[in-house]
Amino acid sequence: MDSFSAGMEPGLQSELIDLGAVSMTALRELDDTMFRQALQHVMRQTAHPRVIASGGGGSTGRVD
Amino acid sequence: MLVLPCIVPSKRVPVPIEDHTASDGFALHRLSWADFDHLARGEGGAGVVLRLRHAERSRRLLLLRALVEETTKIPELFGPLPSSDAAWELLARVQETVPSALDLIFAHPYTGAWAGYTARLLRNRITGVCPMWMHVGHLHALAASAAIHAGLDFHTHIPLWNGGAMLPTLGLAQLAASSPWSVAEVRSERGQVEIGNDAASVQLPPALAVDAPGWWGIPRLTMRAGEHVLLVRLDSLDPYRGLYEPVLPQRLSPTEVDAWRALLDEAWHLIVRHLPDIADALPAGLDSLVPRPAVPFRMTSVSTGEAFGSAIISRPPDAASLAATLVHEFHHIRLGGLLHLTRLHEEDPRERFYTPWRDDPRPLGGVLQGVYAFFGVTAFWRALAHAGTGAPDRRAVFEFAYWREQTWRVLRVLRDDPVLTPAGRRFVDDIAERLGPWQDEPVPTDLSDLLAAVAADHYAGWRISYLRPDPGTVADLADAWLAGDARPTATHLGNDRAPTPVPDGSWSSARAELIRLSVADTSNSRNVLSRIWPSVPGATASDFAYVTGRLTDAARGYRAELAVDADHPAAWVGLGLALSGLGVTPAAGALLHYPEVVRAVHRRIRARTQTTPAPEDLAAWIGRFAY
Repeated sequence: MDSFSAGMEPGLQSELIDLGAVSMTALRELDDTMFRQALQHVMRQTAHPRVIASGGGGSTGRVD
Repeated sequence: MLVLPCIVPSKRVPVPIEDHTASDGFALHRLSWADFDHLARGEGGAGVVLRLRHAERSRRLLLLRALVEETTKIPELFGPLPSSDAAWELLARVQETVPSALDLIFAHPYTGAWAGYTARLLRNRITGVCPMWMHVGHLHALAASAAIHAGLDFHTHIPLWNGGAMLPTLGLAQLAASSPWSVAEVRSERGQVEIGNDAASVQLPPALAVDAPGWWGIPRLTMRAGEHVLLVRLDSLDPYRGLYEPVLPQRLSPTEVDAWRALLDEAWHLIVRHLPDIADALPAGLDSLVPRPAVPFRMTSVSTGEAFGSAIISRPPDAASLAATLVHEFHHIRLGGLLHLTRLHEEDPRERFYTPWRDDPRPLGGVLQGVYAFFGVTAFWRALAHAGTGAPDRRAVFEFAYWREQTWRVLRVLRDDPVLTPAGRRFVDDIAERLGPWQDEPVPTDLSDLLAAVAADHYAGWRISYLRPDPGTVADLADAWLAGDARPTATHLGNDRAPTPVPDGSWSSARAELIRLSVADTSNSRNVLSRIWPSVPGATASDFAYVTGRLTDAARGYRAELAVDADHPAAWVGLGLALSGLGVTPAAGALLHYPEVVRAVHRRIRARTQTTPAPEDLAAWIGRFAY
């Protein structure tokens, strides 16, 4: 997970590809291994959404 | 010509659009350790939040692509609506014409919530609240909204739920409909937008943020404090604004909008004045609030990782509560964004932790969220407590001292847990770096007893509700008591079994609530409390006696409550608190440290003999010799 590529500040690298420079038209056509892995990654994440939910007692009674 | 209330410059850094045909040359989203550490410490300004938001945009685009790919295989999924191709082409037109309009729709929190929800439906092959075509077809509503923001001429169809046609970020057109699920036509020409079906038609008003005949707008509130501006939509309409499933719209009255505006304005001024770092960052990560009605003594706030940028908040009693809640939820939002980039812990659904902010046992993921969020809450109250040169705000001092200690208590357990990843441990250590030194800051001694009482009350309440003592130990103690032994066999009660998810009796936070009320009003708290306490849910006369220092009366009252219901958790713990205040140490120790054991032994004796030992006698007997 750690990335120390030359010229880059050390940090975390995700499995999420950066689509900031991709047009909607181009996005429709992408179909290679890296893209497929990214699709599977985000779909897997949706299986267990993190809900920080609901509150109760106390004037600061929120939950988690 | 429409006046668009929501179109704002894109928050992401402009990036030239290129026509890639393969992703091999793409970068993966990354976060520097410097950003990571800033985030964990609650720092970093808007920059790191915008980087999280940029990643969220990629995530939502990927989900959209996955959804479209999945639904293209089964054209029937779109039911009476056009295929996904039409929506995609409209979105592409928007991007070519006004890119910021597309960005606005993908930054919308409930676009993320919709994508996640619909993905789950498709994967699990199940139908949601509505027929599948309604959920899948929401894509057309997103495309229509983007096109309206961009001022394009277009024509499409969108879902109609109970006669409401939702245009995300904009508002909802009310049409007549004979079926709960149908279709509305949207037509935009030369700046005029009309939504209709066979029964009715609504022309969108010039000012979309305000209500008009047939149109419910989404109020857009602007809070200014010096140079700091917070823009939020007050969204009670979007079907995907909830937590788990789509929900119907709830129209806000002008009075409610005004009340929220006033509270938000004051809360924003508090944040800007006392937490300038958070004020720099928060507008980048919170742009939509789902308002919920006020419920006395039950303020709630909720967020989900999928709806990055949003929080559901019940209307708070005052601006300081709202400010603390905004900071709390903003921390959740930031952590939710980070968790989409990396794992801070392995999956572990076991609900095994005590937390002072929840009545039930929590899994590690929830504990991590809570520690981070209450670290933010602590920072807010700390800043408020330290503000000014006059007498400190007692409520702020109390909340600061309570949350710093309680959050620290949980953090110390969390940081050693093997389920944390190395990144997760680093994240927790970063929080500790800030939170640790706050533990030594002085607090007025008159608040110390109250802080200890609230903490002991909740912890004992959790124990008696969720810990089940070892049956063998309970049997041995009951046998020894019934045999008239002067002392039980030396019994070690310190090794807790795993908590159960099912509470043994209901718990009430009434005492903590009453203590907070007494702290907030120092001038004449007994008179104020005597008027208010009956309205606090679950409060009893014994609680009122305890909080106003009449400990003998309180103990007598809790004994009477136990005589009526010998299993009542709050009465057992209340008796322990009152006896502790009276200096009755062994009984109080047992009732506050092992209430689940005392009650279980009491139950067993009752069941075996039809006699009822005096609760504090039994507690003193156990407390004197057990450890």
